[in-house]
Amino acid sequence: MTMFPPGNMRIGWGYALVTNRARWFIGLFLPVVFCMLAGMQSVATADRTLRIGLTPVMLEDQVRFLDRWRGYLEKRLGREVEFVRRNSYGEIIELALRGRVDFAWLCGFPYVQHRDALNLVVAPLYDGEPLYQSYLIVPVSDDTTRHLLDLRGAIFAYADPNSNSGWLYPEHVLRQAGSSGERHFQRTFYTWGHQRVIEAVAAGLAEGGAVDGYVWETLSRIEPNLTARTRVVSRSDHFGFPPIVATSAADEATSEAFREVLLGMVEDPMGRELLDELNLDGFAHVESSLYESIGVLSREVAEGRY
Amino acid sequence: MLEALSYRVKVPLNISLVVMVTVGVITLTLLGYNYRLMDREMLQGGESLGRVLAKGVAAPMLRDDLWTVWDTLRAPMDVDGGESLRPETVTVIDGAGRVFASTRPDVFRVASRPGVVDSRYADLSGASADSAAVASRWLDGDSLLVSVPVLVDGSEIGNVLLEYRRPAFFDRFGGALQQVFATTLVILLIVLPIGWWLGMRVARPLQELAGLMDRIGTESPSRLRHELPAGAQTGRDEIVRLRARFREMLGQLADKEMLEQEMVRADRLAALGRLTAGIAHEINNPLGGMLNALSTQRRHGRGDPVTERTLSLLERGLEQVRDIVAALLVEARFKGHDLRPEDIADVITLVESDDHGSGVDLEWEHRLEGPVPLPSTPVRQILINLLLNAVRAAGKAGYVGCWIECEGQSLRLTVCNSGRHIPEAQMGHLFEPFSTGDTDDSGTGLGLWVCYQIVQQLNGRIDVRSHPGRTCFRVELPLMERRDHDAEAVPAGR
Repeated sequence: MTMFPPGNMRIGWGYALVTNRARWFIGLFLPVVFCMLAGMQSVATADRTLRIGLTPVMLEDQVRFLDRWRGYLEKRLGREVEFVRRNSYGEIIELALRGRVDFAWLCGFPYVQHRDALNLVVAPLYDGEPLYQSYLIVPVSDDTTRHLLDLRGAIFAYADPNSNSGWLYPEHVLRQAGSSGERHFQRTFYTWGHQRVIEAVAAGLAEGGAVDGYVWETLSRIEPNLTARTRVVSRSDHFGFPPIVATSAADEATSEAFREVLLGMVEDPMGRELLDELNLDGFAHVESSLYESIGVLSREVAEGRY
Repeated sequence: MLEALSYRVKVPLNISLVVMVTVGVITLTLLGYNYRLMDREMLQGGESLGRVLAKGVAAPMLRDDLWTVWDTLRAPMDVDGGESLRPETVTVIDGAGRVFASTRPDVFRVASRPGVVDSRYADLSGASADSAAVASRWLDGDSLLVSVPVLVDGSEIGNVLLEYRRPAFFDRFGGALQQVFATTLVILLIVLPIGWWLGMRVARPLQELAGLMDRIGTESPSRLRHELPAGAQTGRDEIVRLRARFREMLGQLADKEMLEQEMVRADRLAALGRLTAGIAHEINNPLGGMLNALSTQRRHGRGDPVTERTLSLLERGLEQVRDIVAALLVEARFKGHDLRPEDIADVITLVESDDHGSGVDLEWEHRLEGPVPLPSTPVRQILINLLLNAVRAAGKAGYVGCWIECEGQSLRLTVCNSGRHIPEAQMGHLFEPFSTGDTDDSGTGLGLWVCYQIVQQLNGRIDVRSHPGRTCFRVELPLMERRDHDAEAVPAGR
């Protein structure tokens, strides 16, 4: 299936005028083209809806914000955009690998696992760098814990088994110490989202949790009462920020157009406003090597080296 | 203390008391009823919520999805409103009796045994595990525990435990009580003025009657009766009847007192009459002898001038004594002709020519068309005496009115003047001789005494009414049936 971004359509139209090669073409198709140009909507309907998979690497329940971001992207891309959200990382990864979404905002962990099938588009800039950390948090009532190893026999909340910050990193730490999550904790559970890890720890349901540092910091701006009920025990090394990747469904031109729009967000007021709500500084080109450190963790945990 | 209060206070107080007691009893009854209903509400609410939660957590429990179970449990705790039926704690235990998740993880830690962390839960987990039915029991006086099994394909994989705490009476009904207090206050604000008004209505006539009753004995009943006008109320309630009866009683008291005064006065005047008549007769006998002796001496004696002057002096003195005695000894002469209109005219002429009559506005009217069967001389004497008194009392530029008329079987003479009115104290002694005390006047002080005696002898009545600016004497004389013109007799029955 061939796609014609609006930009290309206009070029094609100009070309037809200049070359004067096919008057019949004009006579036959001009009304159709006019109709297509009459409004963005009609142009857009000519294309397939662009599907973007989202995972809980960002805040949840931001329906209004996503509507605005979608409107922004539609205006810039000139075609309809749909955000696809699922219960867990795994389902979005599945959709991405099967080409059922064009792009996906994933954690670095699944990206390095499937880097052959996925192409990097951009990575967000957080605090000016495409980097983030994993936080270990405990309820604020717990003022003794200093390290993950102190939480022996605790109830522990992971964000998602496909999350670097929310599972891979703490698991790696435990493996390094000669243990594992299953042996170290009395009970573990997944909340299928970073924000929910914070809620579970704040409520005391979990006595410790691993969470995306970016999500924790952003939530502390929006809901300081919630994050105030948790205490950050330790912060990990920096890892590559969850990237936006293109799947096999997106061709090179579409990827390029999407990349341009995302990179250009920082240059117009509406885009900056949206970035500000995301608590991001913009998007940047990144190389696959940025996620190598996650790849190392992944391999070491998978090989059961410890 | 309450007995000393006036009805003006007692009535509104009693009304308020009744209102407050009524409101209090109704409020307590309704609130108590509601409070007892609350247990059933808690049980029913717990059962229905427990069933919903048990259905919701079954699938995630099978998947060992702790987060989803907890998220399901906390949903009813976060909804706004309906606090009264919100469970205190919702806990899910697994088939082994361990906590799977709880809305109070600080108490019911995941994987702990509820009976260990909270002794109240001790024997429930074992008991409820036996049956697949909803169970409930009181943990303590105020906490109800409802246990609903989580069933998957007919087998029990756990239980949802809902703990409800019965809210304190005032937590639940504080708002209602406030409402009741406010409403009661409004009712009292409306009722108190009405009660006050009702109290006034009851108290005012009673106070008035009580005040008058206190004054009986010290003041004349007729005046008290005057102060108690006949009520306009047409009702037949006790107060109206009491008032009417009291007024009647005052009237009877006044009549009785007047009658008594009248009798005392009549008795006194009769006694005086007898006394003066007796004295006059006793004086008249020697007086007649002395006057005869003097007359004889004058006729036969030829004395020197000194004796002559002495005798003359004696004679004048004795004559004066005779006149006074004659005046005191009123003996109506029934001789003479019947009273005619001309006799009246004569009297008027006589009075008009009196020295004192000058300048007085004298109005008179008589409706006699012919002779009246009454002796003219005593009637004229009465009329002259009354008119002369009136003219003197009226003074210069005063007014005197005189009306004479025959009414039925009696003749009525009325003489009024505009002079100084007769004081109350003087009224009782008005008809006694020398009672007026008008010493500066030219009167003898016997005018009214004479009138009274004549009227008595004619079987008539005389009375007087005196208000400031108007004093009236009224004489009623019964007409005689048949008169012997030559008879000189005092009518019998005096």
